[in-house]
Amino acid sequence: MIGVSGFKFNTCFGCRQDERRGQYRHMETAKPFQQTKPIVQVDRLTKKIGSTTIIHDLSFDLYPGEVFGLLGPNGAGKTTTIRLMLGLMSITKGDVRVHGYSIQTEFEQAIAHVGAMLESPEMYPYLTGYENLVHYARMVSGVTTERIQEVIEWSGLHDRIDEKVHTYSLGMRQRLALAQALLHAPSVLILDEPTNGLDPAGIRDVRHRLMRLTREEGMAVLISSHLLPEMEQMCDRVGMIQKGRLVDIQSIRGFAHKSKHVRVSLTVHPLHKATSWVQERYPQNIEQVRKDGLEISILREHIPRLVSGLVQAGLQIYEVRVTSKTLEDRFLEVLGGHPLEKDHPPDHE
Amino acid sequence: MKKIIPLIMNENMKIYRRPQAWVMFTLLMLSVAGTGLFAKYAFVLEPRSLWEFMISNAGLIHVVTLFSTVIASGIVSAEYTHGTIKLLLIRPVHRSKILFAKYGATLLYASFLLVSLFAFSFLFGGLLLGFQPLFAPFSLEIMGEHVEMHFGHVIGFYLLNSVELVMMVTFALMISTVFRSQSLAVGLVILFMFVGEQIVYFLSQVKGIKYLLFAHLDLTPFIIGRPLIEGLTLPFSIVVLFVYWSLFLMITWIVFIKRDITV
Repeated sequence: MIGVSGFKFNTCFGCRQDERRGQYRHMETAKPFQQTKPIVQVDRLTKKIGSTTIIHDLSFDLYPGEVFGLLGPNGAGKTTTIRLMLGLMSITKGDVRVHGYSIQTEFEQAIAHVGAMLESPEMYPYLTGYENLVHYARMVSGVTTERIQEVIEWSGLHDRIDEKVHTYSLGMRQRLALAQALLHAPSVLILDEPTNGLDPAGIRDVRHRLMRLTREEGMAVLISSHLLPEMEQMCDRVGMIQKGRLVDIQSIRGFAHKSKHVRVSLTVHPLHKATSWVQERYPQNIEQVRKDGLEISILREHIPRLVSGLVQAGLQIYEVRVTSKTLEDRFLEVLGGHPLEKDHPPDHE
Repeated sequence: MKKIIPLIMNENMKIYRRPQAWVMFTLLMLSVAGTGLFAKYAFVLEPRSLWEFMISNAGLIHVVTLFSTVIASGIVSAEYTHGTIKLLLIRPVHRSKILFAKYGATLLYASFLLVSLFAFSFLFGGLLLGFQPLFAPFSLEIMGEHVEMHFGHVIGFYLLNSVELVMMVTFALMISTVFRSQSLAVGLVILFMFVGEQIVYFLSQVKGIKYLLFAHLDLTPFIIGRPLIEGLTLPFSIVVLFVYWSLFLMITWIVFIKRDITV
C-alpha cells in the first residue's frame, strides 16, 4: 500500500473483471471526474521550435482517480507534450498547472506533486537499485527510509535491490523506475510509453499496478502510447494526438457502456438459416455477413435472447463475441486514415 | 540552501561509485611513488630534500587537473548519455541548485586529489629522503640562483598551481554542458594544457595577448622567476582570471537552465 492521502473509491481492482459490479462502478466513477477539480490543467499548450510549431494549442484536464491516455502515431507529439508538462522543455505559449501551480513560474511547487517515468527506464546503471532510490529520495523532502522500503516492497524488487542496475532486466528496471516515480507519493503520475519493450506479462503487471494506484489511491495517471489495445485496457479517457494537435478526447469506459448497441460476432452453422432467422427478428441489425458467421449490432441486454433463440431454432453456435469495433473505427476516423500500429502482442487475462 | 548538501551527496555518490574515480586516484599515487623512487635512486649525485621533492611534485597538479577534468566533463554529459537527466530535472529542485551541486562535487574531487597528492608526497618523500623540521628555512636553486624558502612556500606552490586546475575544471564543465560531449571537453583541455603556454610564449610581443587566459594560468612566476609577459602584475592576472571564470560559469549556467531536454 502506498500511503497517499484522501481520495479513495470503495471499489477494488478486481471489480474490473466483474461485469455487473463493473457497470455499477463505472457509473460511480463517471461522476467524480466531472465533479472534482482537475489536478492537472493543460491550457492551450503551444511549443514552437524556430518557426515550426510542434504542439498546437493543446488543452485537457486530468482528474483524480482516472487514467488518461495520450494516443497517437509515432512523432505525433506525445513525448513533447509530456516533456512540456514536466518542465523539461520550455513552453512557448499556454501553461500547465498542477494543483494550481504553474510549471513555468512555480516549478518546484508544481513538480513536487508529480512522479514520472519517461520512455526507456533510465536509471544509473553503476548504482544499485537502492542507491538509485536514495538518490531521488534526497531530492525531495520527507521521504523516510521506511518509505523507501515500502516502495521497494511494492515494486517486488527487494531480492535484487542491492545489486547494480546494469544487471537488471528491462522489466525490473521498469519497476524500479516506477518505484522512483512513486517515492514521494505524488498525486499525479506521468508515464511516457510505459510498456515499451515489455513482454505481455510485464505489460499486464504495469497495468495492474496502475489500476491499483488510481482506484485505491485516487492518483491521476497520464500515459502515452501508440498502441490502441493497450490504451483501451488501461485508460478511462483517451486523447488523440496527431501532428501536435489534440484531435479528440474519448471516454473509453463511458463508450463501452453508454452506447446501447454493441457489435456481436456470431460464428454459426448453417449460415443461411441463421441469416434468415436473424433477419426476421432483427431486420435492421445485420452489419455484415461473413463466410462463417454474422456481425450483428444489437442492444447488449438482447444478447441472451438472441443466443437462446438461435439455439432453439436448432442452429449450431460455435462462437459469440462482442467486438467493440466502433472505438477503433472512431480512432481511424479522427486520425484521418493513419492506422495505428497493431503489433501489440497478445495479452490474455 | 538546506537542499544543497543532499544534492552534493548525490553527486559524490555518482562520482565515487564508479571505478574511474579510484583508478585516477591510484594512478596519481603511483606517480608520486614513481617520482619519489626516481629522486632517491636516479639522482644519487644530487641530494634532494623533502621540500624540494614536494615542490617538484607540484608539477603533478597537471595530472590532477587532467583527472578532475575527466570528472568535470562527465558530470553533466553522463546524465545525458545515460538518459538520467530527465529524471534528475523533474524534482522539486531548481536546475541552478543541481548545477551548483555538480560543480561543488567536482571541486571536492579535485581537492581530494590535490590534498592526497600533497599528503602522499609529504609522507612518501619523508620516508625516502628523510623528514625535515616543518618551519626550518631551506634554500632552493632556481636557474642558478639560491632562493631562501620555507614550508609556506611549498603550500604556496600547490595553491598557485591549483589556479589552472580550477580554471580548466570550470572550462570543461562549460564545454560538456554546452556540447554534451565529454570527449570534446577533455580533448580541448589537454590541447590547451599543451599549447596554451606556447601560444603566449610565441605571441608575447602581440599587444592583446595579456588578455588571453593562458597568460595567467601559471602564477608561480610571481613567487620565483619572471612573468611570461613583461609588465604583468598579480592583481591584473587575478582580474583576468576572475573574468574568465565568471564567464565560463555564466555560460554553463544559462545553457543548463534554458536547455530543452530532448534526449
